Amino acid sequence: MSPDARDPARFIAALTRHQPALEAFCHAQLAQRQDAREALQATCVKLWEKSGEWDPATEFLPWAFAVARFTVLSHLRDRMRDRLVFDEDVVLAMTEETETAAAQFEHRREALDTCLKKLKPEQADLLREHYLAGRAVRELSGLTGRSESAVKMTLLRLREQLSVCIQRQLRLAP
Amino acid sequence: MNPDPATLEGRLLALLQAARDAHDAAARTALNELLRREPAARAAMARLMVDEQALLDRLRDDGIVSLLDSAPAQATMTAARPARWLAWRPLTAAAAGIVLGMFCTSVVYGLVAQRATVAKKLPLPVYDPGLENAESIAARGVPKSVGQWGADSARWVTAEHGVQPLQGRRMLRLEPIPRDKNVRNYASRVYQVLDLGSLPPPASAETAEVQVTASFHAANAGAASRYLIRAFALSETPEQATRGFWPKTQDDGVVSVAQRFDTAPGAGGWHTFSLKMPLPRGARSLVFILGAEPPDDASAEASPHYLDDVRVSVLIP
Repeated sequence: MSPDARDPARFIAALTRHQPALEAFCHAQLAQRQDAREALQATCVKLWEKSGEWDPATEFLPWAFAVARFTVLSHLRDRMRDRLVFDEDVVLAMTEETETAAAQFEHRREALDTCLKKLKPEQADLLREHYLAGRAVRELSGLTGRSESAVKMTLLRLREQLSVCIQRQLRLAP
Repeated sequence: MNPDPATLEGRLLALLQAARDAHDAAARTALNELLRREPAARAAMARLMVDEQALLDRLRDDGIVSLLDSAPAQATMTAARPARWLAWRPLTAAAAGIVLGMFCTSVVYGLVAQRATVAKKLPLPVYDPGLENAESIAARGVPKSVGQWGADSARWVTAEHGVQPLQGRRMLRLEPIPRDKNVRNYASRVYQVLDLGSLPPPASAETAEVQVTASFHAANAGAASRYLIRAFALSETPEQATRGFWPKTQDDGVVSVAQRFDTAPGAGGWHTFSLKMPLPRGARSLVFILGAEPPDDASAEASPHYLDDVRVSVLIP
């Protein structure tokens, strides 16, 4: 246990509850799964070290986002520029919007659940192989016998379709 | 619905795909400029990326649920969804490689040669499948337990010599074994053992197969390359199976398949190959070996090869 933690049980409960939103924040800032995981890990370590500074009477997430901002920036500076998707100034400029979206993570995920049910099985397979299994477009093209541009286009269509659907679901939510 | 390049989301997604997945530098610059210039683009991008994480989260959960769902055995099997294209296409992709030979096959379990269409593909938990963990080579040769990579001569690298990792930030560089070294086999290999003891019942059905898939890239694309995938199924636990491993492979009770894959000179880029092997009933461990072989011509200079994205699955008809 952190010697300074005011209420370790509450801290752990809050961290566990909000970890998905923190991961979403890291992913949105870094746009690479592996980088996001490393930044999340560093964030959790840092939060634990600073757990004594968190006042359980205040909201956990804004405090945790502030810590995550620093670990993300530190991660960006450790990486070669050509391996990054976003430039550092862009990441800084996007921070507020990213926090807003990441704070809604659970709602967005629930909306996504509904939207995914509307996909055909092969569409869900394609998303799984690309985003979860990490198969590149070229590889998917080889596996499916479809052209790379057709695979690319399908993935873009699906992402845009899901984005529109999520926004619609959120508007419909009570 | 078509992706609409006129919409902000459509533009952002297209630029992101080109910058991140295709490493298109111009697209990366354009994406960052758009985000700098337009506050609405920043808000949309933030939403898209958070939704992408939600998608990853959800797909990951689905994968776990599908593994758990397979436990109730036959009832689940009969209710399994029909095969979809991604379940069997890797086999086609494997066949597209130039297969030079298949050797060392000994089957004692009376396996059925005719394979039905694959109805379910259960991914097995390969340790560090993306070869991202620079600490994970724990053994020389076959490792003694699960959760480790073993290697003859290999090291983790990030992009080098114009070769980008197929996925993630790192890949494994298989170093050529010097010709003057006194070894029986000059292939540079990596090894891993998997525990099959906890497979759900359908995976131990008589007609199940195991599929090992890996991607290779030659440092010298101008030369022909030869790769090797080999798998052994043993009835012992991983710890027992890897003790005195090589003599055991001569035993009739061990099922093994090896396959070589050749790429022609000039065939650059990543090549993904798969090997399929009948999975004997009662198998408790699987040892698989991935390697790059030196050129046949001993006077030709051997160069490194790269390995990334290793997957092992059980295919259940």
